This record gives sequence, C-alpha cells and structure tokens, in this order.
Amino acid sequence: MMDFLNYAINGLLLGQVYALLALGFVVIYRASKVFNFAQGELMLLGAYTVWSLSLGANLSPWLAIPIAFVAALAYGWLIERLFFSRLVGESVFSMVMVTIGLVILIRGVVLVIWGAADRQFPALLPTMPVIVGELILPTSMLVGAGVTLALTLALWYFFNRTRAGLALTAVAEDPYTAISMGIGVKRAVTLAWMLGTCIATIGAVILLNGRSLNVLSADVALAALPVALLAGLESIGGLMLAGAIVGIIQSLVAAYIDPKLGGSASSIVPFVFMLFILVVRPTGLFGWRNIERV
Amino acid sequence: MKTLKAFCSGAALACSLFGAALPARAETVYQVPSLSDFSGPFASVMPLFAGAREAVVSWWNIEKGAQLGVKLELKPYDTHYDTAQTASLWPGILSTTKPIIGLSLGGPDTTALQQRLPNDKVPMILGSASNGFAWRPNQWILSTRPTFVHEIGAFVEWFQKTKVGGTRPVKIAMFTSEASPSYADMGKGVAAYAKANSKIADLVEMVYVEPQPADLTLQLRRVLNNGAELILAPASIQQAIAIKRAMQALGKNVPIVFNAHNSLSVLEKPMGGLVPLEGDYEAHALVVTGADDSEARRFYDLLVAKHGLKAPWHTFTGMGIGQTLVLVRAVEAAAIKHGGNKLTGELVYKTLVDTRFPAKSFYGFSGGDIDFSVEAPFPLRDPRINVGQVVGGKIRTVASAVPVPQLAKW
Amino acid sequence: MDPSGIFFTSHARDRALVRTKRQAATLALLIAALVIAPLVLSDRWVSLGYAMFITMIAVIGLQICTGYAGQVNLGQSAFMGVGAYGCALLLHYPQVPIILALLLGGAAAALFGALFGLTAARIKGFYLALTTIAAQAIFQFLVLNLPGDWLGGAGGLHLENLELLGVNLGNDRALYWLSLATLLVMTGGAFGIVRSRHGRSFEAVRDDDVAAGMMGINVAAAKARAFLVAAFYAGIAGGLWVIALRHVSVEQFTLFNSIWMIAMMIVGGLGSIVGALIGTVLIQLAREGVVSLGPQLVDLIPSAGQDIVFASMNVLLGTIIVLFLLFEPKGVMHRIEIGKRAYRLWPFPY
Repeated sequence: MMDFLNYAINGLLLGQVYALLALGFVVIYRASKVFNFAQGELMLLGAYTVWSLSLGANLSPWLAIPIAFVAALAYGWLIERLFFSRLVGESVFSMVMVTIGLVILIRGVVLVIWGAADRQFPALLPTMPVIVGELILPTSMLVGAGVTLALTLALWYFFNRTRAGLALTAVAEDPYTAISMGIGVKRAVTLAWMLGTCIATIGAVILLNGRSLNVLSADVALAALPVALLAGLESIGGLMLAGAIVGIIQSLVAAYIDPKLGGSASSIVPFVFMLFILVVRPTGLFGWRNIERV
Repeated sequence: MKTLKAFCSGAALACSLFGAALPARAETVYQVPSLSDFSGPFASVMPLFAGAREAVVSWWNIEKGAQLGVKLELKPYDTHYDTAQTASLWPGILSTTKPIIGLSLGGPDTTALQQRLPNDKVPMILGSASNGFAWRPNQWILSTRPTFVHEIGAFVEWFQKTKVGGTRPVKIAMFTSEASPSYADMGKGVAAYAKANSKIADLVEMVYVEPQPADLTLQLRRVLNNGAELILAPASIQQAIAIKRAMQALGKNVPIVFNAHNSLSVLEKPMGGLVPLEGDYEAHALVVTGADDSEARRFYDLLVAKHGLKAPWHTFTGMGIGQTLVLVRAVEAAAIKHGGNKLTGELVYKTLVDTRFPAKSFYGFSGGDIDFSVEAPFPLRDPRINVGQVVGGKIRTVASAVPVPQLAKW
Repeated sequence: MDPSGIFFTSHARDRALVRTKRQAATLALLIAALVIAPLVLSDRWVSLGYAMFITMIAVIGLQICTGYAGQVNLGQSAFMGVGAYGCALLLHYPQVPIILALLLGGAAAALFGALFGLTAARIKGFYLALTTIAAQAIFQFLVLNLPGDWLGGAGGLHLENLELLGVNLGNDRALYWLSLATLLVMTGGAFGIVRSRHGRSFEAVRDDDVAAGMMGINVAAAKARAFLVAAFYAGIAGGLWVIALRHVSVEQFTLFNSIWMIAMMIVGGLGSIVGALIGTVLIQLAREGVVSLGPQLVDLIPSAGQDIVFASMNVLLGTIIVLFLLFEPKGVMHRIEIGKRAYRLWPFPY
C-alpha cells in the first residue's frame, strides 16, 4: 500500500513538472495560436545559460537564476522579433513551419556555442529526497510542484484579470478583431514569447536539477505535449490536473507493468494517452471550443 | 704501421660511404581511417580518443614501423555517430584511402558497415565492448573487448567467489534502459545469464528506467528490500549518478559496479570526487586508470613525454590507446609475416584471426591475451577483464586478468 | 506559363506535364546523364547519389501530405522505418522477389500511416501533427519491445546478399540504378496524383478545410488518403535503405530525421514535387559539403577545432532553413519559377 502511495505521489509530482513545461506551450499558443514545436529547444537555451552562469562563470545560484531569466526574456524577444514579427498575417501553418525550422537552428546554435559535450547541470535544489516516514519525495520535484502551482495561479490571474493578459487572450481568439479594437497584436505576441521562454527556463532549472545536460534534453518537452493537450491547449488552470493524471498513470505503469514487460512501457504512456485524448476529446478537458467559420 | 692505419681508416671511410650510399629502406605508407565523432554524443570525449590514437600511431611508426618499412597515417572522418552518415561516407573513404585496417568508434558505424566490410575486405578495430546482437560469424569489425554481458558476468562470478564466499548465489539487481540497443541488449543478456547460472547469481530485478533518470530512490529501495547485495549499473553515466545518489539518500552501502564508459574516473567529476564512490567497482576489459603505478601508466607517461599525448589519464584515453595498440600489433604481425609493402585488408584480417596476441604486447591496456576467431566479433577464446575499486579515496586495480565465463548466445 | 509561340490544339497536349519537344529533350538528357553518372564519377558521388534518391522519395511523399494537403507530418521517419522493417522481414525468405518485398513494405507503411490519418476524422489542424509525433514514439517502442525474433529487437535485422534480375545488389552502382529507377517511377506517380482530382481535393483541404467540406469533399477521407500516400512513399524509401545497407535498426529512424525531411521540403518549396527534389539535393549537398570541407577547414584554421567546424553545420543549415522560411517561404521553386518567367518574357518586363 505504501509502495502504491509512493508511486502515485511521485507520479503526481512528476506530472506537475510536465505541467510546468507545458505552461510554456500554452502561453505561446494562447497569444498567437502558434504551436511551438521548439519549446524543448527554448528550454535548452535557458538551461545552457544557467549552466554557463553558474558553472562557467561560477556565480552563486541566487545570482545566476535571475540573470538567466532576464536572458530568457531577451531570447524570447529576439526570436519573436527576428522570426515571427515578419509572419504576422501569414497562416498559422507557416508559423508552425518556422518553429520546426527553429528546432534545427536552436540546436545548432547550442552546439556551436556550448559544444556537444554532456554537461553537468548545477544542482540548485538539493538532490537528496525528502523522506517522510515511508514516503520518498524527490526534493526538486516537490519544489517544482510548488513552483508550478505558484506560476499557474500567477498566470491565471494575469490572463484573466489584468489588462495585458486579457489583451493576449483577445489576440488569441481573433487577431483581426483585436486589432480593430486597438490592441497591439505585435506587442502581445512578443510578450507571449518572452513569457514562454522564461517559463521554459524555470522548467529547465527544476527538471534538469543535478542531471546531465546535452542537446537531447530537449526531447523531454515532447512528453509534456500530452499534458497540454489533455488540459486543452488554451487552458492554464487545467494543466495541473492534466499533469497529475498523466504523471500518475505513467508512474504506476512504470512501477507495475514495466518489470513484467521487461521493457519500458512507461515511456510511451504519455503518447498513447495523447492519441487517446486526440481521438476522444481533441479540445481537451478545459480547452476553448472554437466554432469554425469560413 | 702507417700503411695499416691508413688502410684501416680508408676501409672504414669506404664502408661508411658505401653504407650511406645504400638507398634508405623504402617505406610504405598506409592510411588508416579513424572514424570519429566531433558533433554527436561522443564529441566531448573525442579529443581523448583522437589524442590517444595519434600518440600510439606516432610511437609505433618510430619504434617498429620504421624497421618494417611501414608507416601508418591516421585520417579522421566525422560520422556524427550516425548510421546514414557513415554509410554515405564509407565508399568515399574506401576509394580515397584504400585502407588495410581502420578504427571504429561504436554502434552506428558497426551498423552501417558490418554487412559491407566482408565484401570490401577491410577489418576494423573497435574499442568499445561488443553486443549480443553483433555476435555473428565472419564479422570484420573486431572489438578488443568481449560483450558487456561477458564483462558483467565475469565480475559477478569474481564477486561471488571473493566477497560472498563462493558457496551460494549472490543477489544482484541491474539498472538499464531501452533507449539504446546496447543497453537493451545488456538487460537481455544479463537476465539470460542469471537464469542459466542460478547457482552463481540470483537476479532480484532488472529495472528499466530512462537513460537520464531524475531520481531512482524508489526503485533502489524496492530492489534493496528484496535483498540485492550487488547493484549493476553498466548503462549510462546519468543512471550511475542517480543510483549513487539514491544509495546515499537511503543511507545504505551496497556496492555498485560500473562499466568502462561510466567508469569511476568518468564519475569522479560529476560526483564531486572519489570519496562518495568509496567501495564501488568498475569492471571491463580495459586498463583501470587508477592511482597505482603500473606498466600501463608508464607507457602512458612515455606517450605524454615523447609523442605529444595531451589527454589525461582517463578511461577513454585508455580505450583509445588499447584500440590503437591492437591495430598496430596486427599490422606489425602481418608485416612480419607477409612483408611490409604487401599488406592488404584481407591479409591483416587473417593475421588478426590466426594470431594470439599476448597480453604483454599491450602493456596492460587489455584485459588479457587477445585471440580473435571467425565465430565472433570479439575475442571469444579466454578473454579477461580488470576490476578496479575505490579504496581509500583512490582508484586501485583490485583484480586483473579475471577469467570471463563462456556464455551461450542470448 | 508556356514559352511564347507554343499553342496546343488538343486537350491531352494541353494537360501534358512535359509541354514542348524541347522540354522532353532536356528531361531525357537529364535522365541519361543521371544514368551514366556512376560510370564517370567517383564512388563517393555514387553512394551520395543513391542516398539522395532514397531521401527524395520520402520527401516527395511528405510534400504530397504536407505541401499539397497541408497536414504537417512529423512521423515520416517512422513510416520509413515501418516500410524498412516490412521489407526486411519479407526479404528473409529468398523466394520473395525484391520488388514485391519493396512494394509490400510500402503497403505496410501505408497502412500504418493511414491509421494515423484516420484519426483526422476527429482531429483538426495541428493536432494531427501531434499524432505523428506519437507515431515516432510508438514505432520505437514496438520495435524494441516486440519479441526479438519478430523484429530483431535492439539489434535490428540483417540481410545477406540480394540479387535482382541476376545483378548482385551488393555493389554501389547497382543500388544507384535501382534507386534512380524507383525514384523516376515514384515521381511520375506523384505527378499523377497531384494533377488528378485527388490532388485538387488535397489542395482544397489545405486551403480551407471547412469550405472544402461544404463543397462536398470528404475532408476526413482526403486527409487519411494524404497520409496513406505519404506513408507509402516513405515505406518504399525505407525498403530501399534496407536493400542498400542490408541492415535495419530502430535508431536510423528518429524524430530528428523527420524534421530534417520537413526542412528539405521547405527549402525546395511547399506545394511542388520538383521543389521536394531540389530541396533534398540542396540540403544533402550542403551537408556533404560541410563534411568534406570540414577536415580541410580544420587544417586551415587549427584554432577552430574540429568540433566547432562540424557543429557549425547544424547552425548553417538551420539558419538557411529559417531564412528561407522568412524571406522565401515558397522555397527555391518560387525563385526558379520567377526566373523562368523572366527568361521567357525577356526582354519585356512583364
């Protein structure tokens, strides 16, 4: 029983970290309807910046992380200025293609600047788990869950109660109407990208805590996709619930089914789940239902 | 007297002139393709390999190659550690360098080339351990080490004999991953080994996790609760680190054994020193790059001093040196037998298969003698491994030339 | 647009793909040059050649699905893998002729692809792209976890020497001609598809699927068909890879490969078969160039270090792709079309 609880809680926490990564997707999607395939690569940029600052330049974590956030904001701004500002008005298809191109580009940039070596990502949070009686809780994931909760609340407040956030929501629903209402679409999109990159960096710090960092670390963002889908690509609040569901299922599969299979079925659980959601309820649990008009 | 002196000096002068007039021994230059990875996953350790390969070739050219009239030239090619890239590079390599032997790096080039090489007639030497799925006859990519499973099996048997008394099976648990064919093969092979040798090893659980796991405390606890006395961690570096951290978190001290690519020297930096690794082992058919003075260390120092080797004393340097030593010894044996200017890939392959290379010709960089045969792409007849352990904060070689069990294919 | 002075008097001639005698002659010359190439060029070019041809086939399939039907397909590599494994399994039985194995491998891939396309009935827009990412992951999982004797598990499958019509397929030239022949057939087929009503329905679905639905096009079926075609092409390409390498394993077919294929399609130009061909050639040549020039560059600039030079390839190519997307989203084909038009109109400006 204790074991089951352990696996379930660990899954819950893991799901929150996925939700954190998925937040980046959702923020960008909410503002520009662009599905950002390069979210994992944005995470890479943030992660390598943190690495450079803390292990390369030997700054203390309290200094390195805020500087990295500022850098992430700068990256987001740069990417949006360079690539997406020209594409305003183009079809979403083109913009998605650009994000796919960005995957290759950012990977290349990371390779040139930092090299292909495996780096040791600094353990900014303690690596020892918290042991409460029989429960083993990895500290970084506990902190991650806390951060996700805080961010979710903050972003929910931002998108639903502040002027700038509502502007972003309006732009996502219908950019043309938003323009005619006087909302600055370009600024909204820029803000979205800056936020998205910043969130990716936060996710990197939590997820890669004490682990190794190389270009392949970007693939973890793909596992966060199903969480975003389950929540519905526009829903911020739903991400925590969706993360919990996906995380718990993956953890239980890893604990009980993997040993029997002699393989790792848990790695495709998120994807099978995603297929399932896409077929049964494509808008996810809390997504907006758009009426398509010609 | 005067005439005798004059005569002698005159004769000496004539002899030396005559000697000088003899044409210098003609040197045949052979180009050796050195498959490398400068932009893929091995890019960070490639300088260690490349440096080791160059240094050994430079040493051999001067020491032995000159006498035999053979000069080896390494030509590096970047394969990105990618099968398609290697496959498309190879015909070009074949026609430009006309190699008699080559240096392979790992999985993708084995995949791309193993079917072609028997036709192209070029043997290649691999420094990594072999895998079960590569165990087929008539392979021209020859690994200097047996399979990972052989190395693990040898260590388990040694551990059972020396640490558990040899009378009862030792309880083992292993962590691996499905993400790479090598890791998946290790899992399969060790499970088969434990099943076939239940008197020696009792496999408590084979745990499959991601190659870069966040936290393995739960899994480790489960495995220790089931009585595991030895943890096998031959897969990725990150898994090794996670297991070690989990062990620390649980406050337990069950020994862990690693392999060459995640050896103690590789783990030293990420774990912040050797002290946390006290009591853990590494087991493989390469040199244990420890603190002991040994023949291998002296050879390494020679390469550093005289042949421009800049790479540190590290497992990957050892792998590069060992791999290249096997290559040059093969060329040497073939040149002695057939003549330095008549070498072909086929002759070198035959030499590799027919000759039993004694361990001392490798200065301790191999596990034992190396004896290839046609049945397998690794030394099947009596390979040996070395075992290292962290004792008193330093890596020491605690066992060498440990015999490897004969395994059935899995 | 036709050169001035060319008029057609029959519908068939008007609809023809190759419009003038001059074009036919040029095409014939090009094909002849390609056929003779291995006899003249070095081995390196021959192996590069068949690698390019095989990739071209897959990219053409991708073009039909993504460029013509507007369905972003990130699983083309996985479909190639299914075709490769299917072909390899069949080729283990020596009685099966190679061409049949190739076709059946393609069919297997097509089935796999259609499964994902069928979900199109329920899913709109980019969600379909996500199912293709799932396809990659599921493909890898299945190959690694199904019993080893079925699909070879981690080590993959090996094949011994293959013979086609008495020619040993172990040598590079035979592979070159086989892949060239297959490419020509598949390209002809692709043109046939896109110029037919199916192709037009694909374009309608791409441009506005709601409107297309209202016009009576079965949108879900069209999307599924697009995936089927793309997967078939990928399957054929995968089968050819198996024949070339005589070995197949799951690590040859990754998500990153799928992304590269999309990049080739983008550079060539979305929505054009010839664009797919040109894009593939350009990107493969660029990659080759960096790989070959790499060692020389390193010799010239020792301080650059081999790792920087080789890693710069990704940056270079990535930049090219993104620049194309920004400044010439219609790809190289668009430039070529403009050039052709300008040439035909010259010296008039319009």
